[in-house]
Amino acid sequence: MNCLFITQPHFQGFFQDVLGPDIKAHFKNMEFFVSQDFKKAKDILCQRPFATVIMQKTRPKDRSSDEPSLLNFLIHIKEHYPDTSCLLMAKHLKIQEVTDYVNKTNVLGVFHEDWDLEKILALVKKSIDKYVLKSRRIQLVEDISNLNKNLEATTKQLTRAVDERTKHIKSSQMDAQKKKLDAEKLAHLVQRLGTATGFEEYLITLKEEHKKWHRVIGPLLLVHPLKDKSTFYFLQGKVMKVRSWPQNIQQIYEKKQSLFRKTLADLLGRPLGPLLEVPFGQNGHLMFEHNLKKQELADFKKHIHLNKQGLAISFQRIFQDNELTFAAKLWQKTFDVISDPIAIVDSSDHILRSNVSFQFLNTKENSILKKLESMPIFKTHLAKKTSQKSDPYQIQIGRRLFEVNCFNMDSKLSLKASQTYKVYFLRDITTSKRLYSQMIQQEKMIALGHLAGNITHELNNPLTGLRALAQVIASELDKSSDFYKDILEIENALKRSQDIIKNLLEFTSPETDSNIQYVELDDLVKKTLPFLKTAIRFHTLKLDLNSKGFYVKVSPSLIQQVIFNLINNACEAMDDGGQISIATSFKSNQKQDFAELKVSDNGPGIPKDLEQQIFLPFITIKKKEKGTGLGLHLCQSIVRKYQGEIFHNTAFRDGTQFVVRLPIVKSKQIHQGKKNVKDE
Amino acid sequence: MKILIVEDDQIIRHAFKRALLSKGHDVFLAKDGQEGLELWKEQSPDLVLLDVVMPKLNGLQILEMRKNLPSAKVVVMSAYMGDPSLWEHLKALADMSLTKPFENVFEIVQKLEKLI
Repeated sequence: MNCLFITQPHFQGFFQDVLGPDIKAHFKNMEFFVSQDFKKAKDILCQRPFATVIMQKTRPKDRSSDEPSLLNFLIHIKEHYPDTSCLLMAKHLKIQEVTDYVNKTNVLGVFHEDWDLEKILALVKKSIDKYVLKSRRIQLVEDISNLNKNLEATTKQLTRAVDERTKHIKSSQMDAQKKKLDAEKLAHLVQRLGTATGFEEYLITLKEEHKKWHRVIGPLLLVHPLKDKSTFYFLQGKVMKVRSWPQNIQQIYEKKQSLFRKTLADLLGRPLGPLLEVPFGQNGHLMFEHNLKKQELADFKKHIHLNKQGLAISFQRIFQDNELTFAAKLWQKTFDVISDPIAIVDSSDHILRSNVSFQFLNTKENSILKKLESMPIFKTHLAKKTSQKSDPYQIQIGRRLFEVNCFNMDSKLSLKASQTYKVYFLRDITTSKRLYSQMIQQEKMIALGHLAGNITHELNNPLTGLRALAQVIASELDKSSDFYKDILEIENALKRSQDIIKNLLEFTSPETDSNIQYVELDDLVKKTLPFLKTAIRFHTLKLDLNSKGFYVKVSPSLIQQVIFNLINNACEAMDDGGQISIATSFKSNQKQDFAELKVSDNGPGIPKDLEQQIFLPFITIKKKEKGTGLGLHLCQSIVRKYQGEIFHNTAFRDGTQFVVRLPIVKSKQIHQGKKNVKDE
Repeated sequence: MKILIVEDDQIIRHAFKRALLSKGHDVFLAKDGQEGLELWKEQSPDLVLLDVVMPKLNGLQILEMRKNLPSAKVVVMSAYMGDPSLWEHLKALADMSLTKPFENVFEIVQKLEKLI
């Protein structure tokens, strides 16, 4: 800070040596200067900044001519150095002047000759403070201005940054928008593909989605369901075509591209354009046939790449669906083709699945489920074991006999943990059961036959001997005596016994060709009747035998079996008190002469639904083991063996009538034949 | 005539013996094949009435030894058997065949007499 003294000459020394240093001592960095006149003072003022100017009014005589007056000087200071404060020494100053100066200029304070150093110091301090303040203010203003400028600059920068930011945000928003749109498109595509129910929809969707790409001709699809077979799907117009190839085309692809393309072209039926490939692993291969230029191709590739996952997933899904459907259909067909009824049933008796045979059996009118469940054995088994299979049991449904096999199904399959499913597998054992019982019956019969044969043989000898002896005794007796008559009775009875034995032996004798004889049908009937004594017991028999003199060439025992069978059937068909009629006669038509046997009864007749089947084996209307069902079949084969015929007379309305016809042998042949008959 | 009867059934043997004796023939009886064979050799009968089914030695076996036996007429006798070829074979080896049962014992005796 600088301080300037302007004084009268005679005060100069004082200011210089006393006041100046005093003031200086009290203020830091204070320099003071002294001047005698205002003019010089102006120059000094120019050189450096002064906070304070202390001045005296100069004596007029000390003033030079061009020296400004005090007032001028003050005004000068005010004008040029507004921050500099003036202190006035009031000597030689009028009050009016002082007031004037104070009002018009920067006069800060006035002091009198009897100065007070303290007061001066205070005034100087004040002026310095003022000056400092002023300069500080200027500085501040400058600073503010600078700051403002900075602020402006910063604001501008910020604005620019904000603008840029805004632009950036907008553009990223657009990007996001675009991405969103792409994602939506992809989702849309995936949704469409996801609901595609087959490869046709798949291909059509793809074609439509890529319509905007004009140079994309269309999608082609290769599928390899089996390792060594391929199926090729492509669109022709709006319809999908399918072609099969007996090899795995993928393998061709891996070996030789050109061959691959050729194969596809063959299948397609036309030359193949360039392909963009989208492989789906080992199950399939998608291709887009196109005609795109380089740049478009790159774009298209990008587009496809974005959608690749969606395409692949839908493909796999359809592929799996097809496999599953095929597998399911195959299984369904398998089960339907099996003629044994099969069904899956849950624990509340609902049939979950069944095959055609089961459905046929289990109609609305006739539910067999109750039957299936009703077996008590079945229930105990269930209680005991949790084994996979319970023991089979038999049930009767209508006329058929079934063996029921029940398998317990693993409950992990069912939705509810506590559910167990049962699989019923029914086997029709009607025939085999019948066969079995018939076989048993046959065995019995054979055994019985053997037994009978044995007994017969055993009896044969004693009877022969008895009769012979009786004859001998008779020859030695007096013919008029009672003994003779008795012996004759005995011999008669023995003869009858012998005949029975003989018949039986003939009847049970096994069939051979050398048994064949010329016999009369009437004879055979007569010989057979004794065997039926018991059967005919409660019925009435009407005999009308008229084929005497007419011979048939047959094995007697076999024809006897036929006669026996027919008569026995008639007896069994009627309740007690029925009527059986047996008639033989001679018949002739253009071709042939034959002996005819008719066996009739007045029973209920043959049921209409069996009419066609009665001569078939194992058909019987007799109960259980009573009928083997072989009778009529056997009769038919025996009769046919001798070029005869046997049939059921449907015109006979009063019951049942069976007719047997056997060709008659001409008398010439008999004479020749009789030589062949066994010795006697 | 000397007639040998080889038959295991007692009553048939007895009946034939009585019938043949009453006609003045000599009758030898054998109750099984072995006895029959021995008697045949010993007695050299004119006719042998031979049953087929017998214990020890059966009719067929004896017939097959016929060449080594004293000559005699052989009548083979049996109930009707199951196997006709066997019966044919027997008939071929014998001079006559009879099936049991027969109608009249005296008719049989007549036939036998005719044979010798």
